[in-house]
Amino acid sequence: MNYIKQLYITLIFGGLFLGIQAQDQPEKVLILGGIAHIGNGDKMEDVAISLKNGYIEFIKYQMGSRIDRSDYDTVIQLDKEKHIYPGFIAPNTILGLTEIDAVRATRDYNDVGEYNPNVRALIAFNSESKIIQTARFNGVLMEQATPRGGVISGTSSIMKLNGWNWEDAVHTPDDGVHLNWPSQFVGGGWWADPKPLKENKQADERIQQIYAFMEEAKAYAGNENEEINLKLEAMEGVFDGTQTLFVHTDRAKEIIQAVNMKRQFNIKKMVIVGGYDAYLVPEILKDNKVAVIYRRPHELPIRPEDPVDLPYRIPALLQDTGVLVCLDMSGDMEAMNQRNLPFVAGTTVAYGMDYEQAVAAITGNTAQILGIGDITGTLENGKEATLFISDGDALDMRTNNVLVAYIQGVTVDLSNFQRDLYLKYKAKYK
Amino acid sequence: MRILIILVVILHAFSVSAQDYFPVNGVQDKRHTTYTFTHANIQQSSEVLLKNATLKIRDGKVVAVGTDLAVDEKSEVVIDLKGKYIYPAFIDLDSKYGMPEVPARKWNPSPQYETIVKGAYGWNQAVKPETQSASIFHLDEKQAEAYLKGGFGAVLTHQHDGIFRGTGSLVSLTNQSDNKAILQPNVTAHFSFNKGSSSQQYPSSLMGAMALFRQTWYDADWYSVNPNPDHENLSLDALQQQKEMPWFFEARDYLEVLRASKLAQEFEQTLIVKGKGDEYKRIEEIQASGVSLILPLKFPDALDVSDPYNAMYAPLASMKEWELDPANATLLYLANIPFVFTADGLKKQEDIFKQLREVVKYGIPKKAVIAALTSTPAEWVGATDLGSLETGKRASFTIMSDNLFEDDAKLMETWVDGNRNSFVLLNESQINGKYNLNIQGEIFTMKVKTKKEKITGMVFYPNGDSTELKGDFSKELISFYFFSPKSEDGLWRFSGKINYEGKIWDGRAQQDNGSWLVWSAIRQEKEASEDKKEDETITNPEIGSVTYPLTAHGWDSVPQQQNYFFDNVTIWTCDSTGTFRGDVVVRDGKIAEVAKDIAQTPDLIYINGKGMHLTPGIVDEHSHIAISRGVNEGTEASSAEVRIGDVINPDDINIYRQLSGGVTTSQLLHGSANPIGGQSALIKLKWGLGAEEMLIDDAPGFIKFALGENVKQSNWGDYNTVRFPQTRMGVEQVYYDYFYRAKAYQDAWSKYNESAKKKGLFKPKNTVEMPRKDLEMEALSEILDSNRFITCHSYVQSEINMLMHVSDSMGFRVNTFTHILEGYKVADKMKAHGVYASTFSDWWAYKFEVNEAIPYNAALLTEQGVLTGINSDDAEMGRRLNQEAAKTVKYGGVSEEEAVKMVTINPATMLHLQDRIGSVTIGKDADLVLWSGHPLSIYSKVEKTMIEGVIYFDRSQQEARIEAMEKERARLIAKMLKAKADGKKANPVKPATEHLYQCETMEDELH
Repeated sequence: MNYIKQLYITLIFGGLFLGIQAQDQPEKVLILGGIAHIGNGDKMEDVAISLKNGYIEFIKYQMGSRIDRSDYDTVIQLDKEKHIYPGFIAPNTILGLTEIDAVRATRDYNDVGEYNPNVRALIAFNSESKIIQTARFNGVLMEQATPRGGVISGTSSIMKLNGWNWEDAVHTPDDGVHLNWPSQFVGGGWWADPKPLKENKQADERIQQIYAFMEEAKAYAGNENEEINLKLEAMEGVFDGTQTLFVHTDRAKEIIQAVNMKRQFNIKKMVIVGGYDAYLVPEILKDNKVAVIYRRPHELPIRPEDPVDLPYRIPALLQDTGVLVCLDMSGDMEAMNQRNLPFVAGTTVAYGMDYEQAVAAITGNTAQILGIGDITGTLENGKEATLFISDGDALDMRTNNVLVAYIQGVTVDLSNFQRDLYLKYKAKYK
Repeated sequence: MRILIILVVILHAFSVSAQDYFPVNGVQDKRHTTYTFTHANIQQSSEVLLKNATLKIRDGKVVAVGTDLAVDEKSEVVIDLKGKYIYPAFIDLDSKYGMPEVPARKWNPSPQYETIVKGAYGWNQAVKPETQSASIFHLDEKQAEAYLKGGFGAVLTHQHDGIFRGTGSLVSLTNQSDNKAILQPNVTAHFSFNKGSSSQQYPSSLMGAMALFRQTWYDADWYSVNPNPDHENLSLDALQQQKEMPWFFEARDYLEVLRASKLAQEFEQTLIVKGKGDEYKRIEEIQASGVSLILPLKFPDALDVSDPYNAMYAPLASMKEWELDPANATLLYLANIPFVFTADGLKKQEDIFKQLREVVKYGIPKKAVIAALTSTPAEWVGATDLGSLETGKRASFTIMSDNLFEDDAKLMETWVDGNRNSFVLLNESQINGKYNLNIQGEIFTMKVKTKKEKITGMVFYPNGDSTELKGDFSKELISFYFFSPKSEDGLWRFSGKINYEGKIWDGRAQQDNGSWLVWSAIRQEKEASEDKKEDETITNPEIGSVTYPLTAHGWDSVPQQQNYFFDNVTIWTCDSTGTFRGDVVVRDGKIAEVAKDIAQTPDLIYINGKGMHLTPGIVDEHSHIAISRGVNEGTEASSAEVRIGDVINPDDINIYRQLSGGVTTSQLLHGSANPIGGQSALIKLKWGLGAEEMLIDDAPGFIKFALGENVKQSNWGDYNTVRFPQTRMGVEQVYYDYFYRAKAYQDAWSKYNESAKKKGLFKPKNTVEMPRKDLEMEALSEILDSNRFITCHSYVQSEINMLMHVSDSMGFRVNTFTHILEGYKVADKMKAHGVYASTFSDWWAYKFEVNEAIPYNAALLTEQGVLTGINSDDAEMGRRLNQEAAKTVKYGGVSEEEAVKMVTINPATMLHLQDRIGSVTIGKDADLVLWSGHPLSIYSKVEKTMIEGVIYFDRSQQEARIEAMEKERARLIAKMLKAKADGKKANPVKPATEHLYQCETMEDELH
């Protein structure tokens, strides 16, 4: 860039960066002023943040810093009330793997078979998804694209919500394998005629099958194999610690069983996904360094006796025990609901979570749990320049208003077809 | 302990005899023996117990009963029943005895819309009143034996299949012949809410079953007065007689008992309902309903709660039921609700005695229990010759070894119409005890115990050593063996006979070398049997209280209406006075005063509102909570006849959960599976009250319509492609068709009514035929007359436009488009039509028709002047409607006051309740929500939710309430653990299963 573009954003304003052309190159950006939510539990007011080469060159207090503005393509001057957040990260999601839930042709997250660790989410990732546009609009800038179904659903990848194609959009390929732990209770019947939940008599047998698979996979990983077995091959990272084993489960006993398997196989990285009862078994989680991706807090309590607001409170309860926790938005209509990830974090604040911790639960903690905490997820020197500026508090839907966003220093297009339709029909009625 | 010999073969006193005029193969064998039972304790009726009395029977009838009857040993068969008890045989009014097996429902992936029954019957397979139980009855000795062992002499049997099940017949459990067995053919009418073997689609929901019940009776009336029917309908013919019969209903739980009774009342019938045994949950409503009950005696088993992680998933409701179900009969008795017992549900009928002993522990008088098995069921079916033992009545009775409520009492014989069925010999030997065994002069001490036909025991040698004894015995003979004291004699094997009812045994024994010994045994002492007093007072088991509802978060006592003073609170009035800080007074359930500063009076309960906000109660225009067994009767293109109001489930935990989010009023809507859905119910979320009390009095009538993918079954799989309509083009035609039919229906009735008016002296007969009363057409007529309002599920602009055209041309207005996600595209047209919009804040992408749904919809509609609300359609989101409203501020910049109105006064207006609820305005219902902060902030929580001056949710009470609930759980868990330790059955924990309905939920709930 051979010219300097200086921008000043000072008023309530939402649309400046809408509709700009997608671009590849990181910009040199200087953000001055505003409240920076670091994403590690801290905040800094009246900051200066320098973004260069896709990274945060520095973040410091503006006061007393001498910064040469001519070094930058863009200088953003914020008033004190504006907020700067690390890009929100949506873990455990099918965003980008589906477009319309009811249309089978658009569903690319659940393949045939019980043990599919070799099935890789990034392959089906649609970086041009219209749903992704709407998630970015609210500050969700990264995700863990995750397959569903079976016992081992497949391998997830961490994706940037910006990119020409999946190869371009991938942040960390094949970060982990997803295992659905056998449920203690099962319902019978079929979808049109469900039967009540009852004890799962096959649970032990299913767990044995998982152990048997793990044993073979471990043996395979330790061998020079003449013949490639794609399924076993796909498990190697779990045993050598380059990949995380994400175990999807909710009940206390199941969590204990899953963590027990971690010990049995000396699995380096395991994360519980779901974890409704995790707050009841914090010791075993902490002792074994198992973190929790807590299920969407905007859900009904699992047990009728639970306090009506228990799902809102669990993240704080879990946080208080010292277990590392982040939040996801999985569940019904989850692709479109990813844009509400900031607001489930907001809800946890009303129910006991410290505000900055709630921010961490969708940024820094998430990055750590996904194994990318060293390079992204917080507003710290040397971290990736993935962040956004909101006109107001981004965890409250009343004030969430993303003005500008960067992913690895590249400006993000915040336009989306919903807003386009809004403007189109607004104009019609004028 | 008495020794009871169970015989494998039942002894029948008589051989099978046929009717007098039936040809006999052989010589005639008529017997007129008199049987005389002496020295018995005779329970002549539930009220009268004769001690040491005599009963005489002859020719199947009681000929005399009393304490001073002469006995003629020469001409009578005399049976001495010293110490034993005689009871009138029991009668079971809910039986399948002798009925053919119900065929299994044929499963077919393709929906079946029409009946496949051949014959001139009605149109619905679940309606089979033509089933005549007497015609299909065939006695079944195996089933009969099971009943006889439970002390039953007669049952009311019917085919348990379908919603209309046909007639019931009173049959005796005789083995003689079908002709003799049937005492009263086809005397009762039977119904249920279960489709049974019907493979037809309609009805799939409980409300559909209830509508079908109503419509069928209207059809029967119309058919009976129609002078020239153009067709024969054997089902409706059959119903003509059933109008006069007692009506029996089978219900799944207490809610269905109440629903059945409500239906019966509409037809001025009282009802006998077989319940689940949980009627104590709402005893006042049951009492008021006037039903009589058939109570099962199967009680839930304990749960295995030994593992605390498992125990967490044991629902409080299940634990409470386990504790309280056995007390049901006592609680009903105390409330004077008439009931009888049935053995249905027990594994074996003979288990009934054990269950009755359990039932009386809770304090119900024993005579009431006996009445519920004898005189009361006899009375209900008009069986004047059954139910007690008086001269002339049927000789059907049981002989028990003791008072039937004693733990050891055994059923020995059941006599049916003078025929004997013997299960335990009356004069059995009693060989338990200590004997002196004399073996050729040497005396051994011997202690024996018996179990069935086996004996075991110990023999003590003269030197003090002992050895084990084993053997078998029958009525007269005995054999046993043990090792002799001297090893060379080896095993002694004894055989002999029992004399003097077991007092003396004698015979010979063989040693290993083959030589024989002579032996005898004389009883020294009988095993002491515990003497129990006749009217031993048993302390009632301790039981927890019945909570309202009997589930998690129920109340020990439902909170009451009180007068309140909200001080210094930010009031979002949602009326023209706007938002300001001030005070609010609530009196007698109404908002009495609203002003900046009101003088506080001491009679008001003070609530400090400093820093807090007060809004009207949230009104959810679109909810599917609190509905039993099916939200969709989506089987046919129209189901205008079904009513959600029939199937309110006041025990749904989601009522309480919605309260915690500030919701006070919900429109419970039918689903969206068909273009013309069912009638809505408007309820207030009065947690703890019954269904009828939740319904809003004099609420305007609403009905659900639906458009688009759901009604054209787009996402129902490849088999559901045969119902009309399958396109949006077809949907329009459905509406025109139904509304033209409704107009024709109106015309037919007005002609008929006109003609009826003209009827006079010279024109005695109404020449116009009475039209058929059609509940579906009635509902559509109400729409045409603007007496019922449409809430229409809708997504895309084409269909929205279409329905407005249909209604314009038919002369009525669509009230509300709900969901209406493309409303923003036709907002101007909607404004012109005058329709309201009730939308989601930001849902989209879940199906193709919501691909252009945008979160700015509410803002655009509002800008165009369309009154707009935000709804949930979801039990979870219903708790956060304030947050959903707040999204309209983000998307499209709706003002905060307008956003709050979108979940209060706007939906109240859509429901035509704006004069009663929806704003903090003097004179309106005191439906209020106190928020910890700004009502649109994600950081605000509901502190209190009030409905009509009653605080149904109070956050400050939550901790104490949860603690109390946990304490109650802990008590029940301890009790269950003890039951398990005592050897009672404990089943694995089953977590609560919630049925969460959305528009789309489409299940067959009636099998």
